[in-house]
Amino acid sequence: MATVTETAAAIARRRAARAGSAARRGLRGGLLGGVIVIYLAAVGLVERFNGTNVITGVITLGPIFFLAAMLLTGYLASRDPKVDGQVVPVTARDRLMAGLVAGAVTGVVVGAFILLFNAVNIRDIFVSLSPIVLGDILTFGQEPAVGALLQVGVAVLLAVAGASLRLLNPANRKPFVAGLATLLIVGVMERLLRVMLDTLGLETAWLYRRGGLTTTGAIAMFAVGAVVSYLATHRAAIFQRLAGERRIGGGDGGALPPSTQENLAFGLGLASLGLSGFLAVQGLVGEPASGGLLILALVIGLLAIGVAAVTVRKRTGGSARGSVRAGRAGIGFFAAIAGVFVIVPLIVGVFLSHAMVTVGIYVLLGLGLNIVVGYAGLLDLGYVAFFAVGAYSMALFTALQSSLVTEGVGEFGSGSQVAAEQPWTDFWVALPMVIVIAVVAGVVIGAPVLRLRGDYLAIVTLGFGEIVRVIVRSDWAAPFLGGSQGIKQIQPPAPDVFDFGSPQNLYYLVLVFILLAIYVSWRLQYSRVGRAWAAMREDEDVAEAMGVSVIKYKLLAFAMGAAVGCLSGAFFAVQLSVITPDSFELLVSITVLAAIILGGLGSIPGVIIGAVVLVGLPEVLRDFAEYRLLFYGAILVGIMILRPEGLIASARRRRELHERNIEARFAGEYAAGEAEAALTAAPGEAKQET
Amino acid sequence: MSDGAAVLELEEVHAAYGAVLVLNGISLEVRRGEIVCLLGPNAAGKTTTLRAILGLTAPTAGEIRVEGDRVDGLPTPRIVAKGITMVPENRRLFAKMSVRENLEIGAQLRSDDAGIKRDQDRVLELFPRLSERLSQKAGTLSGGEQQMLAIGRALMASPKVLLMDEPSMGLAPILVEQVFKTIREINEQGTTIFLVEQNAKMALSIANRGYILRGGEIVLADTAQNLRDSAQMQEAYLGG
Repeated sequence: MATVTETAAAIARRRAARAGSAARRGLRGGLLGGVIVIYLAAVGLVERFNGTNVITGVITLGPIFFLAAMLLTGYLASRDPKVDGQVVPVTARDRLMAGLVAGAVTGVVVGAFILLFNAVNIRDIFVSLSPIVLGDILTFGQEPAVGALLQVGVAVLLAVAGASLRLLNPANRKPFVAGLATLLIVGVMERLLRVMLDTLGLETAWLYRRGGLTTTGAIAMFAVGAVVSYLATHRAAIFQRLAGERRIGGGDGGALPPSTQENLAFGLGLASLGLSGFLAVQGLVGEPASGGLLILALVIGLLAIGVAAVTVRKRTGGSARGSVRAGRAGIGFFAAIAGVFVIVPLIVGVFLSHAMVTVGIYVLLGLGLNIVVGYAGLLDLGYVAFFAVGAYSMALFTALQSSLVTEGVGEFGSGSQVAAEQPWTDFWVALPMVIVIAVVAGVVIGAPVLRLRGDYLAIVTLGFGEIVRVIVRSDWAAPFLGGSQGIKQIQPPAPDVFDFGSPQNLYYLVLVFILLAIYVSWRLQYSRVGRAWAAMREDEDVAEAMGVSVIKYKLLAFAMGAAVGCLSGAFFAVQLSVITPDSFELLVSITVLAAIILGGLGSIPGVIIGAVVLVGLPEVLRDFAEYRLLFYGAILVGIMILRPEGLIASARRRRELHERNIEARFAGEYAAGEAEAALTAAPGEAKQET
Repeated sequence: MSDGAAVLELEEVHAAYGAVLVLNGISLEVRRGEIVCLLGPNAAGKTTTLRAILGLTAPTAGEIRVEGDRVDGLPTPRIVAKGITMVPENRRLFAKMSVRENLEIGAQLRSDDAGIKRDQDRVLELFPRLSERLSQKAGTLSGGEQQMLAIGRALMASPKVLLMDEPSMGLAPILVEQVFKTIREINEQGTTIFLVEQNAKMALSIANRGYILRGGEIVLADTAQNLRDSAQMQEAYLGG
């Protein structure tokens, strides 16, 4: 046994040696940090947002970019290194050391860059690198030499601060970080949040001033974020306390992990408490707070948390009912989510509603593509084709300038187009026809590629996507489809009854169809069809040998995917009321695919999250439009590193990715066991061999 | 054991992969209730014979009949529907699906829920190990359990003839014996079995009759007893 412990110690030593010294890790992190700061400056982010107030009069968004990068550098440089997938723990001194070195290196790199920039003209290469950013922002308004020194000081300070975050107990670190994040988000999203608060009839003057937070607002937001996060991290303990320790103390003692339902109730409670906190602060700073609303929010918050606690107690009391409750929790969860989705457009205003419709359109696209790629495993890179087919057929049927109703006009290049008085038909009549056309299109595109697999399928579908785009743009189809002019004056559904022309109302229509598509997807997944698709995805030959008609199920997948995609296209046409070929670029296919992979292939909630992240965020962050792709790329890379199975993986895929780790661990333990057995059982033999 | 009626017949079946002729006119028959084995060296065309029967590789000439009806040229699922299923070489389970899902896929073409349930119970009775692992991923099973699942999956189709491609491959000797015992058990419960094997000794020990395939042609057909004793078989199988 002694031999084994010694070996373990030796292994630990070897690992520590391979992990390198703290200074080395700091150096590596610092170089990276320096490059990132220079990069942020060179692409123009720092300067572009130097005028955007976050806390008015205190700090703007521009410097936050590089200051945050420095903080993060220290935080990351001080993490426990990994060798062979094993974490090598680091002492507190080493952490601070790594942070210090990282900060110093970052500062030196940036300082050197400032000096270099002032000596040599490199603006021809970095066109976004203005004298302002280097002569004023990065140098904090000082002379270059002083500024460079200041940089080093600031970088060291922030990196050490980042490193010391690691020394905090995670339960305390989280609220701190959450507070900072809340402050930042509330500050940056000023334009959108102010609209929402105004709609709710809340006073915002104490919170926002000249596009940024007031100092009071900043402190309040930090506090709200920190408190909510603190309660959330300690929720298990809070539940236990509320549920009554006497009984639990007599039992097994440990806090039960809260269920979805309880978390949901708790979340609602926290949100209400957050709101009441907001109102309370508003009252304190002298703005008129609506007392009734404050009390209401407070009551709802406490009530919701109480309900959560009660269910926890009941669950611990009679565990037999637990599973029934878990099933109901799922329904309750979806009901609550749906409820939120119903109310939101009333609060958020026209701009955000429009963005939400766009997200909804992509959610539909994602749900459709998820059937093809996620369920059936057919990598379709030309999914935009169905989007285009849906949009164009809806446009032809319901536009005033459709070639179906304006005979002889609309020829390419003729310029003037005459609008008819009435569209060919109404949205509701057109919708079933669009779906039929979609299914036909799905089969037509699906049939020629039935025998193709994997990469070949991807390339051919990519081609189909382009073919559709080229056709709608072509002169040949122009008399019918309008060429590059597109089709204009698409009529929203039934304007007399309920005007779907406004984003808020169209949103509900899209929501209904999303729910429908979710239901269909969900049922499909666990049906005979879903099983056949899963089998086909894994091993086409064997699936066929088991009686799965591969041709039938592939066509079915294409047809169903096409139907949902076309639906999405139809809404897109209604939303914009004008469609042109430019809207049906390859990028649409890629975005949708990225969204479902990001969310977790085959997972329905994943599709929604993916669409929100990849389509919703860019819409909301319109101020960052120029840098959209930069963030996009960064988010994608980050998620693929941190969660390769997607944000919300389907149960099946989670199994796939995580069981590999489990297997690896078992294999490791097994090997270790063997080694131990060999060492303890026959030391003599081992000696003989050597 | 057999009542004499041919349930699966091959007549002058040819098959080719592109220009390479793999089956050069083979004829054989499997009668109801029998265990028939097809033996032969590597690359003799054994697996291709099974693929041709199931329509996975379309025969270029010749006839394949199931209970007298021609099935050559039909799509695979329709042949499966006629009562032919296969336990593929190397098991080829749906590794990422659960054991239960693998069994359910076997019954893909059936809609008689009661019958499916009965067959699942039968499979789980035959392989009690599987019932402990129903929700486990198929890929995490041991080699022997995987072979059980592969056989169970095929049985879920309630086949008239079960085609088995090298069921002993990659298994420890003790497991091989167990698998062959199981094959006999399945046969005794009424399923006709057409077995392709490299392990001639084992296969002949449970089979009623056997065919020896070499270079895409049947070179010998006899009862298992005679084949076991035949010097010619040794030559056909080992020589060349």
